[in-house]
Amino acid sequence: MSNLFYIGIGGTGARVAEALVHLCAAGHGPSDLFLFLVDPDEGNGNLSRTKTLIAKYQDVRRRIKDRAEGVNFFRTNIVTPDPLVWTIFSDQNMALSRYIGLSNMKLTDPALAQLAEALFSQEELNTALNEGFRGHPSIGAVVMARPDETRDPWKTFYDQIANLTRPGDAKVFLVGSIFGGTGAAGVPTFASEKLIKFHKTASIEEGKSSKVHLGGCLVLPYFTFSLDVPEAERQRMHVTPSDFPLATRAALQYYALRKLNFDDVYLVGDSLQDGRVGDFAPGAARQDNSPHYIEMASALAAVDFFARSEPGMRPAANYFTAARAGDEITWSGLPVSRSVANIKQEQDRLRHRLVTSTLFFYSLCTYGREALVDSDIGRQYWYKENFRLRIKGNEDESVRYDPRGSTQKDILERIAAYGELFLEWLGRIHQHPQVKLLDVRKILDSELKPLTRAQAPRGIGSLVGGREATFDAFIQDLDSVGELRGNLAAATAADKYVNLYGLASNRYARTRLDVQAPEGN
Amino acid sequence: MRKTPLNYFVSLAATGVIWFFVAVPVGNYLGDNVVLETLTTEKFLSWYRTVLGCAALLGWLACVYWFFYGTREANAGNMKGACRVWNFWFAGELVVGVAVMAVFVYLCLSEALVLVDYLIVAMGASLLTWALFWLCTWILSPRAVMYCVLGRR
Repeated sequence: MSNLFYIGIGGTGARVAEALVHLCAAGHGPSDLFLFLVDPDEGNGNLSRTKTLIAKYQDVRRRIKDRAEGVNFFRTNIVTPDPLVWTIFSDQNMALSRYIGLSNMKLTDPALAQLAEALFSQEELNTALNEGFRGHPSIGAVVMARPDETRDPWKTFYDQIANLTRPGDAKVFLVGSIFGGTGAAGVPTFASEKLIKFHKTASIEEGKSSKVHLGGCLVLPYFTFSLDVPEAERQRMHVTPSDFPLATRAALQYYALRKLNFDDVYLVGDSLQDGRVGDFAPGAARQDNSPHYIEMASALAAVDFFARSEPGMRPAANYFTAARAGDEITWSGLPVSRSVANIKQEQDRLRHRLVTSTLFFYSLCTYGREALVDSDIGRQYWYKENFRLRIKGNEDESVRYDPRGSTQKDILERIAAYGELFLEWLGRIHQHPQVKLLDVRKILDSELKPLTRAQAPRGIGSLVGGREATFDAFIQDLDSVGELRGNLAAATAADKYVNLYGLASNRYARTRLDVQAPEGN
Repeated sequence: MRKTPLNYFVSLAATGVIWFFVAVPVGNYLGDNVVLETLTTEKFLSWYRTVLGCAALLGWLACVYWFFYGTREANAGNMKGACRVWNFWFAGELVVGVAVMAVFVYLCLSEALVLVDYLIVAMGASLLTWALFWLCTWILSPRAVMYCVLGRR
């Protein structure tokens, strides 16, 4: 059972969840995490991408059993309810008027119906909400205020909180944008007193304290998209980047006036001019935006929040903001910790983990796959010391010594397939010219697929700038790892394969690229 | 022992020991038993030791090249190429061994050496050429290429 909860609200919440899952794959997440998403637009491209990613992550993690010390990939046990997404409406084409029963209300309570018609325009009342709230958080606030506690994902969420006992045992982190529709509606609604912080399952001694330590990441405007709005959409409710500043200002003013129950609030945004993440799309599958580094920064806020341990007293909110010194996004500019004393060490830790995971996934996607079909691999030292080319024994022998066997090869292929998603995500983040973390162009082609060893002999060796090394040096490092001993000697072939590549990645980062792991990594 | 430069020195020492064994005790035995018609025993032994010394030097140089080759980054992932290189040098050492015998036979054409004498010389030439190369690369090859050696594959 996890006591750390991530709730991603709207498209931005899903995209930050995507970044968080990738950080977990890189070994930069907590040990356990309960995660679910909130979005009425279930067909949203961003949401679909994150759902697929989480499923792949869980699948891969389930298949990796043994890990060597220092190999932290897929360390986080991400638990998700079924369904993963609270879509709010059970019916298709639900409109606000139908949701509140306006027709019936006009008959039973005309005054209330008139109030509803005064608060919401006819367009707001009658627009179908299955593609989100179209930049109108006031609609979302109404429909999100009453989650169904008897059904998942909320049921499991509340059950888990009920099982905890002490103040601050549960750390709940809400993420959403405050300039759009769903996030702007959901974040303040869920931060209201009764929904999470002092919900009956969380409240201790009638509201004197709470089991929940509530954190939130309010994502401020950080991207734009093409303003080429299709004619059909111009007739309907929609939001454009020019609406973002006004919406943000209104939301911040509202949050300042209203008492939200956050203990910690992270405000994350960006003023870069070139933040385009795609073309206009009001919702559904077409809303599939390119990842952005701000989503990683927001995921780092979640990691920072989960790493703290503070009691769940009535909130006097801490607000955290960070700013870049210049236009370039470098390791030293990433907001990784609230503690000034720790920030350098945490930046080094993140750098080490992202570099080693990039090395790991790239090497597994390229050389790792080649090795599984190379007839000469049996003469390669690292392979010969740990595996056998011809298995004469039974099935058990094959599982332990033959990574080319169908079961073991399938596991490795799943990890490599996840690795491609990781590298593509990293590549997309680096498509924003200001992002100068890794030189990923050296290892990815124009479609962000891994270049082969022949295409990029110096690829991984020039990933971090400064020192240079070749991919052949990585093979030398695999040889240096040599025979795995202890528990790993008895592990499955796929586990051994993963650990060999993981240890070689650590070694390569340390000795070839001078990327050291900080203490306690 | 597979680390550079330790394998260079160990292989040099091994070459020296084998050469000493072949040149001194075996050489003295050969000097005592061979029937010479034109050469003095001293001259015969001098030629014998010099020719085998040259063979030993070539054998050691082949080992050194292989050790150097095996530690180069560029060769770490090319086992097919590496094994081809080992085969080439091993075959080269076989040729050197045969050449050493041929030189020795040529130098001793006027002498009355018998088959046993030639077998002893052939054994010495083999020990200092292809057998030396095989033995040293078997024991001392860098890890990256150690499984290219015949018998380890």
